[in-house]
Amino acid sequence: MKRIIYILPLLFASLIVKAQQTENATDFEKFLANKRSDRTERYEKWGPTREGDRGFIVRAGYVIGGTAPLPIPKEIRKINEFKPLGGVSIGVDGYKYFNTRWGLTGGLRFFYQGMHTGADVKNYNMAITMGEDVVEGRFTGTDITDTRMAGLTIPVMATYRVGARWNLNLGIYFSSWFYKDFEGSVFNGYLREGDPTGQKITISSENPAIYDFSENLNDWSYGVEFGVDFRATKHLNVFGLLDWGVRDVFQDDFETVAFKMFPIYATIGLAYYY
Amino acid sequence: MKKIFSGLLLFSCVMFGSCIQNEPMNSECDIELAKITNENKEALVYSTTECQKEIASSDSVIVFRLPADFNNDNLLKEVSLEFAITKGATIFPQNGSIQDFSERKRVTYTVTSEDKQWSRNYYVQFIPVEPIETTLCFENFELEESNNPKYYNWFEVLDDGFVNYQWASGNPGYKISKSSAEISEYPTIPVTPAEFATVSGNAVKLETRETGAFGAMVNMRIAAGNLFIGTFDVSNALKDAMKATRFGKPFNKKPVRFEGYYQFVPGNRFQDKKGKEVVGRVDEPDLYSVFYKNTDENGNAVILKGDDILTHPNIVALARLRNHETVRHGLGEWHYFSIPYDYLNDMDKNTLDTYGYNLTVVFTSSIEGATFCGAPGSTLYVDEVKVIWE
Repeated sequence: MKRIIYILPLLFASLIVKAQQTENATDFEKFLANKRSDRTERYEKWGPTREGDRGFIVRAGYVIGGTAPLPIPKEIRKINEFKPLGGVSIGVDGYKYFNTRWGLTGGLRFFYQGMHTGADVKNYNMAITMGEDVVEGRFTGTDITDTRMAGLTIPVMATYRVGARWNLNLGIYFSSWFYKDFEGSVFNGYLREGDPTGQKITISSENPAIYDFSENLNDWSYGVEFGVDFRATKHLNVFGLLDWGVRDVFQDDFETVAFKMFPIYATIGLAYYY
Repeated sequence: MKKIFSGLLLFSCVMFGSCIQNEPMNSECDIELAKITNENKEALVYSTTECQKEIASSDSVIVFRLPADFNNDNLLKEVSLEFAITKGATIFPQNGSIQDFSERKRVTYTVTSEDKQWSRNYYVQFIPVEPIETTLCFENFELEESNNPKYYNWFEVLDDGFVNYQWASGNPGYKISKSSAEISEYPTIPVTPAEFATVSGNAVKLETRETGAFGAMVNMRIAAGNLFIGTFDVSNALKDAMKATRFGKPFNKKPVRFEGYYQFVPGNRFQDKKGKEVVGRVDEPDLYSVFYKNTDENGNAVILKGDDILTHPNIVALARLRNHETVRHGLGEWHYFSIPYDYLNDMDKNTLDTYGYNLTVVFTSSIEGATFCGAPGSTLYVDEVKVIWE
């Protein structure tokens, strides 16, 4: 996180330098020509660190985010708590520039991510399954969910240099999960067995009912990835990226959770340009 | 660093928080409370505690008990009832509307949920209070009313033809904890002469069962077979099981002897609440009957539950097969018992005549089953039980 504090003054300082340049310019044409040559110079300076407009980047970052229904269904009345379960992402990207500004990036990353969330729900469809025993119905009360997943992500992105030191990346990604869990508990409320007219089963906080939907999660996901890179030094890069999943994390035939949930996780970290 | 982190958290909370939609309308449609609002309402009930009734979520039949000597049916031609229903729900006929309950007419009230997607019918009736059946032969039982019926309910048919559901068991609780169990695997089941050498007609079999992973999750590893006069409030079964068993029904006779037949065999492994074996402990059944005052000094209704059925100060008399010496083990032969009621408190004749006392009869296959201690497999058969009264 300290690195973020570090880049903010840098950004600010570069703006002041720009402003001063404008004030001192007496000949507008001259100024533009200078600026163009400056820019070319700067783009070259902060360009790929190797010959041939290509190279690779090693990234390591902290993952924060959640697996969330969007839009938040009306059954969720209040979010009491939300906490990312400390995630990491480590990977290698290869890139190739086609011209000064445009390029293509592809990579392979390992990630571990998760979240803990607590919410007040109303008339929330759920089932508690234990082996062959199931209690299913509508729950009104407090729900706590923990979900974690680990796997590999392959992103393919178009890269655009908006400035000499700034890159924007936009593309798609594919993730495969080799570890996943989704579990939680409900309490402080009651379950109407079957439907809202079914018998009421009070569930207290002393005796919460626990559920585990891990086996109903899909094995893979895909979505849109958006990233920003800032070249802090010649080799060191500060980056942020967002993976926005567009596939429901639950299998199609799983109907207990009545709404779709999507993994939306951001990574903030440092990268090394080789 | 922490500041930025909490800032990000705050941002995500705001982002998610701002997406919370308007609260959906209620889907529930229960009658939670029913009360008589007529001016002469006291004339319509055997006890003032009967003017207002809390309705359990699983009940759809509401019976107000008239005085035993009620003979002015005209009073029932214009009765106004008021119901507390789920917030936003609507009821038809309307709250407070005048209805005709004479000649034991059953009036149907329909409650529709606020979102109009769900509705429930309730059947309301006025019937004179009458003593519960005390010759208990376990002949009448039926499968529960449900889309997926799993367990039996026992009932008695009174002299006037009224079907009295005076029996209750923990079976509804077992259904929640072990949905995969077959009908024959429930803790309390009927046995017919074809299946078992009964004393006469059908008998009842109570067996302590394991509740599986669910039960272990909430520290309720076993379910003792039980059958008792009273009601079982399944909504409390997971929260506070001791409060789920509500013992007793109004009775207007002085009980003197509790008698009947049983067979019992203990399960092999007695376990405590945590499921740990208690070495050397042999399980026992429990068979008893309690007679108690059903109001407190302020006139409020008193119902004894699992945690105070043997200790409450309102208890007037108790008859119980007490200990290892009196309870005989072994299957194959029926054992007869006949125990006098032990009177611990004075009984008031006026209170008795106005159904101011409740009587319960309780059978369980594990004596500590209420606290989830016992031996799975402990089996108790009961047949031809009788409460003799003066």
